[in-house]
Amino acid sequence: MTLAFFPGCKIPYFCFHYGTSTKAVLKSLGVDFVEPEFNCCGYSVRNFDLKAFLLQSARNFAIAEQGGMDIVTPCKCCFGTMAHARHILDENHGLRAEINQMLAAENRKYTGVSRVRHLLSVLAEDVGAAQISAHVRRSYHGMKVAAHYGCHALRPSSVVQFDNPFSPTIFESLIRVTGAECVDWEKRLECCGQPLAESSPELSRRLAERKISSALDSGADLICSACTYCQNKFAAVPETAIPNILYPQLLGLSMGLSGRSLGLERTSVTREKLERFIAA
Amino acid sequence: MIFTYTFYAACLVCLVGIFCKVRPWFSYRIGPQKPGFSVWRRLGYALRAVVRTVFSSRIFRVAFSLIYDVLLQVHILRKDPLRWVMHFFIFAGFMALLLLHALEDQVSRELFSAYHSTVNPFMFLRNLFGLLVLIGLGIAIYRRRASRILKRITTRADRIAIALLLVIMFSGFLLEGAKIISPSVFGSMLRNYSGYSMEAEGSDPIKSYWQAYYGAAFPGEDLPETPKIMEQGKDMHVNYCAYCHARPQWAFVSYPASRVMYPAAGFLDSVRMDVILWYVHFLACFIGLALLPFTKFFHVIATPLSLLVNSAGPPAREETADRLNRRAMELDACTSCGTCSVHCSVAPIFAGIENRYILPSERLSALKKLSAGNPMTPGQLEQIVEGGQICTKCYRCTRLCPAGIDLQDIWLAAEAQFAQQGYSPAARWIPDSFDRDLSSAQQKLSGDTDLLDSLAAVAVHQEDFSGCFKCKTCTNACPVVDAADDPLRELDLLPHQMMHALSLGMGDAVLSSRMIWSCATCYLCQEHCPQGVRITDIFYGLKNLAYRQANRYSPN
Repeated sequence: MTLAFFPGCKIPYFCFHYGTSTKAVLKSLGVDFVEPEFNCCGYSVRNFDLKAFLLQSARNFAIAEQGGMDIVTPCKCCFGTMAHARHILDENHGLRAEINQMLAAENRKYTGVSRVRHLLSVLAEDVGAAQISAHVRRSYHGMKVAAHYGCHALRPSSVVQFDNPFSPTIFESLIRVTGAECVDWEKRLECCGQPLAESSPELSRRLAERKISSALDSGADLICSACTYCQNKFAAVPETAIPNILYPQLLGLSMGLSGRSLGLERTSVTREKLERFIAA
Repeated sequence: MIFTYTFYAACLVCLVGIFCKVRPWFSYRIGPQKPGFSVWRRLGYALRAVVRTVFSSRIFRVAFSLIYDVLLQVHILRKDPLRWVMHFFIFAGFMALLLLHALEDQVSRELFSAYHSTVNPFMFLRNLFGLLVLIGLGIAIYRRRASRILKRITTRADRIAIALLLVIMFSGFLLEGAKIISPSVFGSMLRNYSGYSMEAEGSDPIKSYWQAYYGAAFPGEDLPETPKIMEQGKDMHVNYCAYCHARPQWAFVSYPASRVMYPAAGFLDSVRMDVILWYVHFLACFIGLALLPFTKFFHVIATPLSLLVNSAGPPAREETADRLNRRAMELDACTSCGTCSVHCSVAPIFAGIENRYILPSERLSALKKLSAGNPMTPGQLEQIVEGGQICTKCYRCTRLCPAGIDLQDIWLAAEAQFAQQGYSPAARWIPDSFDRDLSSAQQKLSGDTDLLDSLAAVAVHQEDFSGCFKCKTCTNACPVVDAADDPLRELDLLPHQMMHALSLGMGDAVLSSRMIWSCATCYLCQEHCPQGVRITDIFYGLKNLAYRQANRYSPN
């Protein structure tokens, strides 16, 4: 089935390589997707106005519904935001009618047919670990990876239904496909700090640092994330921190995809470092 | 004489205007204030950048962009064919008319020895180019009425530009039509150009011939059209007229216009409508010329410049004079075409939050006014900052801007500038004081609305928090509480206290606590709550409420 690829607002300028690497991986795994012109998921106004946030998400669903598609996004905040909006719109019919009235001005309608899914879910559930490992040509050996889950995909579990909120496994299972090992670390399921970057920059920095030192303590070689916001937060902390990489980059390199499409030059992990684990 | 004087006056106004408009390119500033660059220094940087580009391989990229982007506008065609048709028809049609028709003495006659405005292909082409412009203007009007967002952002400047072009085009066509049916014009043509002598041959046969075949009108004159007279008229026509006059039917727009005016030909000639229209036509053109720097028409200078400058490559990453110059110039390159706002990924929010500065085109024009030193109320400023905050910097406007404006750079620079001036986005929402004497806060909410009603308006209901039995699981799970050195001092109220305060109806306390704005929205509290209290969702509701209360500026 064809999916509607939703890059989210932070990819085109701030995390370009996440977009290119995700699309490169999806293409070589044979996942069909199109790229309609979506709008922001609504995350940017969720703090300020419930209806504006719902309108944004609902409009995206309406666009996907027109093509009879589900939405796939590599950003956990976009995923969580839209999943939450869908939950609210399906529970609260008054709000839904109100939002639909606003959408009617441009002949759109939210019916709730299309779902939003995170990249990891599509990889784990639609493609499947077996199929992915068939594409892995250059396994990593002895590389220890700290999988960073990302809050908005995981919680509230009753709304997003991504994985077990207390002991999720989906990300580790996808990382292991590449041959890498996963470490258990204390702050695995905690916040990266990015949502507070504007309102409480100091707290935001502290959250990120605690997270990173927790990963370091666990002996991980790198942190792997699958969220634009989390990645941007990790990329913003000083060089002394642990290297971080996006999952499609990690997977793509082991699938033998070109470094150019993976954008490895734009992350803190050097390609040489990764290649060392492959050569070993 | 009026023609010459008004022309020179218009040129003068235009030149002075261009100087006045270009000077700010080296003085306007978008970006954080730093020990300044003087106008002269910035001018020096600009000249140096131009010289460096001209004497480098980048000049080829600029030359390519001149053909590809500026002349052919392929970048618009790719993104929106209808818009391309609109713009290219106006651009190509108008430029062609300017060269072929307005500058006929300087251009057409020099290039084509046989040039005559009344022969083909020039007569036909003039109509064709005029029609192109009219079609373009028609599409422009249609687009601005059909799109909700374009409708919203259309300003007087857009209407003036379209109206002035319409006046120029319509007066041109009507002028040509009026001349076709004017006996006076016919008479003066005969006298001045044909070299025929009326005394010797009389004028009836040629009039009859022209009335029959050339659409001329001679009201009040009874002109016989017998075969003999027509034969005679034809001979005269071939001798005196044909070499410099094509059939007016080739003026395929003006001719039908003349047919509409035909019944009133006598009256129109008695008031010399052709002369009136001629004045309207050239004065409209000269007004356009004089106003060029002060209206949307200025984009014909600034936009190609912006495209060419940006084709030379991105500016240096750090804050330099080049960047400041570019931003200032780009403010003029905006044609308020609305492409950015139509495609803006947060534009739909505009339907929910009444702040026009959410739309990039509106924010840009506000920044232009700000850098020009126009006074703004604190409310307006806050709205502009808020618009910039809602903007996700998704880069789409920059990618799509037909004028090649680096909007992203402008947004980021403006954000840094506002932050420096103390207009940080967060400053508006986060309260600066928290009253620790909670006894006075009980049952209170700023204003006189009932707390539960206010909460309901942001989708928080009593049953959402009434289940809380103060077990502190939420507070223990909270990574923000954990990361704070002194949680109570940094957050004012802890999550479980927030729920407790809500149950007690302490509206002011929960809304003024920094806890809600320090919530990382990680949902750990909510996930762990044994009572199913939707703590994070309640915090979202409280933030919505605090926003509403802080939002006391009057919506536009």
